Amino acid sequence: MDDVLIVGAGWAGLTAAAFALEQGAKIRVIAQGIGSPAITPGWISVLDGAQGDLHTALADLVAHFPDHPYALAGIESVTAALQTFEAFSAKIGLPYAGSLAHNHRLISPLGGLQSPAYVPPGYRASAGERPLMVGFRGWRDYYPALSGENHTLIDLDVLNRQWDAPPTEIARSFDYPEVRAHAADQVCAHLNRLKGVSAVGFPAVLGLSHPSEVIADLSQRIGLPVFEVATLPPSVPGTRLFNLSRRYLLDHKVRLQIGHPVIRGLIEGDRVIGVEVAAAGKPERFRAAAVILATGGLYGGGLFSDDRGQVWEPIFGLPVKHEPDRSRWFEGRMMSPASHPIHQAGISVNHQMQPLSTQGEVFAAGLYAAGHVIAYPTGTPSPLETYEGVALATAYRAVQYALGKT
Amino acid sequence: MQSISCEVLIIGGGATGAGILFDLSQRGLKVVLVEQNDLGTGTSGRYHGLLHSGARYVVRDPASAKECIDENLILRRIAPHVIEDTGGWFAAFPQDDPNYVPLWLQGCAQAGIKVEPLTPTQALREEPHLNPQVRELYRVPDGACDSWELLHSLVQGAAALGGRTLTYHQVVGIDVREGRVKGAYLLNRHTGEELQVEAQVIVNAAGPWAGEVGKLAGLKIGMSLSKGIMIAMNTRWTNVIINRLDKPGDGDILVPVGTVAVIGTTSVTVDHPDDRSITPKEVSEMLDAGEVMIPDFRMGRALRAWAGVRPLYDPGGAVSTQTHKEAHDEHVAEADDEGRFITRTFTSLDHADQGVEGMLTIVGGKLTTYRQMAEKISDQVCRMFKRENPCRTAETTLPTPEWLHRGKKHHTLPRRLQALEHAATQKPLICECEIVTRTQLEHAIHEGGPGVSLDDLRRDLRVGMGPCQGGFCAYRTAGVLQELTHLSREQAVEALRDFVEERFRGNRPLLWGHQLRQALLDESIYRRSLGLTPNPALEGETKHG
Repeated sequence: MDDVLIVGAGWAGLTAAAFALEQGAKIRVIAQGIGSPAITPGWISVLDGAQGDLHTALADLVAHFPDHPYALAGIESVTAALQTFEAFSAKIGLPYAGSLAHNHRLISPLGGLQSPAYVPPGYRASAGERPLMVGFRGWRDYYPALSGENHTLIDLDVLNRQWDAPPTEIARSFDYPEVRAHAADQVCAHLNRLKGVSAVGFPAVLGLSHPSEVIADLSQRIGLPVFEVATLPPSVPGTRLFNLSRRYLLDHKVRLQIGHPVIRGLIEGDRVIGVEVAAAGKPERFRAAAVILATGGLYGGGLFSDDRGQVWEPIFGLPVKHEPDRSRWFEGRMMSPASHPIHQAGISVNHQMQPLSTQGEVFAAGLYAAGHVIAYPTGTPSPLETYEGVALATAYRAVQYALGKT
Repeated sequence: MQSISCEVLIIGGGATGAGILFDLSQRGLKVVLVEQNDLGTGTSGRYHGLLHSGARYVVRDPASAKECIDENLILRRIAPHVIEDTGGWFAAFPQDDPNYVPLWLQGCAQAGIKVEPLTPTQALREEPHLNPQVRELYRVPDGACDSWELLHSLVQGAAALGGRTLTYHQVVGIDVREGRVKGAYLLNRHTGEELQVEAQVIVNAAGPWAGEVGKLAGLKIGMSLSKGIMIAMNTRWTNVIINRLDKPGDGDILVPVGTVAVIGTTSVTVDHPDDRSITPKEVSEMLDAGEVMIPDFRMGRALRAWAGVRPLYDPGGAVSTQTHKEAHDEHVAEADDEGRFITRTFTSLDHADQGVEGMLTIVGGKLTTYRQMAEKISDQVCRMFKRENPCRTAETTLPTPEWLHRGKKHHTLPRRLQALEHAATQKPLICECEIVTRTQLEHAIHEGGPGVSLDDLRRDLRVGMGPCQGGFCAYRTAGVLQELTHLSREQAVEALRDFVEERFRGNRPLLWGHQLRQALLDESIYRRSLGLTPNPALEGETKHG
């Protein structure tokens, strides 16, 4: 029997495992697939819209919305989660940098700005620079002319054969010094014709297994700082985080079962005792003292919906708060300034991250929730602006209570 | 102001207008067609893709049924490249009225529609997804027809004969002097420039907008606008068209179109041709109807919903709004669904009796009968010019636009994959869902000429029309378009934003289950990975724009 069983390996599930590992717990992670990092840019959005100090902005948000996941987890969980994650990220060789003093200002693929709080190697503050944006001729997933005034296309040998190379494969090729040398030569030839360029931007594919060294090496060869720009999924920065975390967790005896769909939660009396997993022959049962449900929201696959406007949580059958009228799930435009009401759908939890029944009582002892399976109140910034921050803070909080550390 | 002159100006770039353009060009007249958007953006592009055998109409609208079967046989001859000969079945399910069958069989015999019975066992062997409770089935010569390819063929055929097409030109005024049409004023919607067209005859083929065009010449045209919704499901449930063997109702036709299946349709009277709203309730009802034919229907993903507005002729409407309303109520009382009581045949109007000579309007009809409509009105035009050139469109094979066609025949996955594997020079896939390569995209951008939009490319190539609804390919297409056409960065981002919103409009009524997850992924890609921001011009608005 495990101390804690985490369902899901997205931002919330993976970081919950990392946080529980800090506490020396016996951990099992069971997930249907590889989870959200591969489709997120790989950075940590705490509150993208915040101008200036994030502590102030977060305090404001929490004061206005006592049901916001940040308010339920508490700001102290946000800061503690970020600190613990920073340390963890350094241990896995992917040191994230940032603070709650202010957001970063990164160049976006469409030439705008993106403002996450913590970023992995590669994404470095680049606003205000005069960068040269570099893309790869014939590659379909990044177009440098859309990101900045100075741009060029270089050739990559890996694209010379006829195939649709995904970002992760281009990244793998950059792990080889000869590929970097060839790329750097072409960039330098172009730079000789330009004046005043202060940095060089590439799509975020600069190495898969040891990006810090790859980026440092490329900077040295080019003679200018090199940075990465997010592009279409699968996200290489997210994949690096997933791969390196997975390796670290496995090396530290965490049982990580990816590709195992949890089909049912097991409750005995008023207590959760484990979960049931689909397996060949018959479902397999795993028992644990505590279960953290980190299955995600409607996107992540933790919640389901149908054309009649119903939304449900399939594993424990937890009550889901949501707008019942499907015609109001979305604003009129995809890119509306206001958050779409459907983003609010989720389960209710208390300050200990315990899911609640419709009567507002603890659903089952030993059951906790983390990440986007949790509901948002109306009127808050879009969850896309607080995506990883909420996952980390709620995961941190859930782990503290699941292991009885508070 | 620039000016051009012609003998006949046709207003409306749908199948009817393009059909008239081709017909009159072939008869040697100097013709210009003007369309406010791209070709086929009105009713012709917003239909279910069905080439009618006419069997749908044999009981209540035999005249329309006869027109359909005649034209169906002609179109198979002159435009085989736009038709996929799926064949069609009329299938009676337990819910359907058994008394309808003998009436229907009699109607088919009278209209000359060849009907062949098949047993449920045979049918289920051919189409295993079909509801096994099916009672009775008949084969009819329905087909699937790509209206955009048809339009491109007609316009290309006309161009070779001197017929000119102006897309993105809106008619803003019609010049009528001393009771005679002299021409029209157009607004180029790309450049904002005005253009004067001198013409001796104007043919109003604007479909549901015919009433609006009539107003520009001071005319009242009695129209009844009937909206029908359609939903494309990501599964090509059957390879044959399925019709419910019952009186026409909502969601009684399922058409395999390329990689998807389209279910349609409804009939709701609307006040304005631009009313294309779709409610979640209508969508759920359409899925309920789908489950009658295909029990697993709800297990598929609904990709896109759209509404088309049928331009039905309703002479009562010409007198006054009041009479229109009364006439309408009376009809509703005797019919079980709004709009379906009006015949689907077509009517041509000569406005000379209303004091405007040289102006003709054509309303009603169906895509299947576009050629006959064009023939009738072209005969009328020729009489006005005192020419006796006979119509030859029923014998003339339409040209196949080569660039449009490359590797694209009928959009079936095996054919596209085969084309891809055998093409040595195809560049990467830009749209994985619809298998559109960069090579095809480059051709289409080149052919589209200056001002080609992402939405034009979508209609030409189906880029962005698969399950991901542009999540990945919209950015790629914008990137390639920018590279080849030297749009400014801002213009390319704006084009991307427009495309995203256009896709979202069609997808919004269908967001639940997997398609909801897809939309949430797409939103995350646009907003987070790509950093796309709301349109600053629309900032501050939060509701339907």
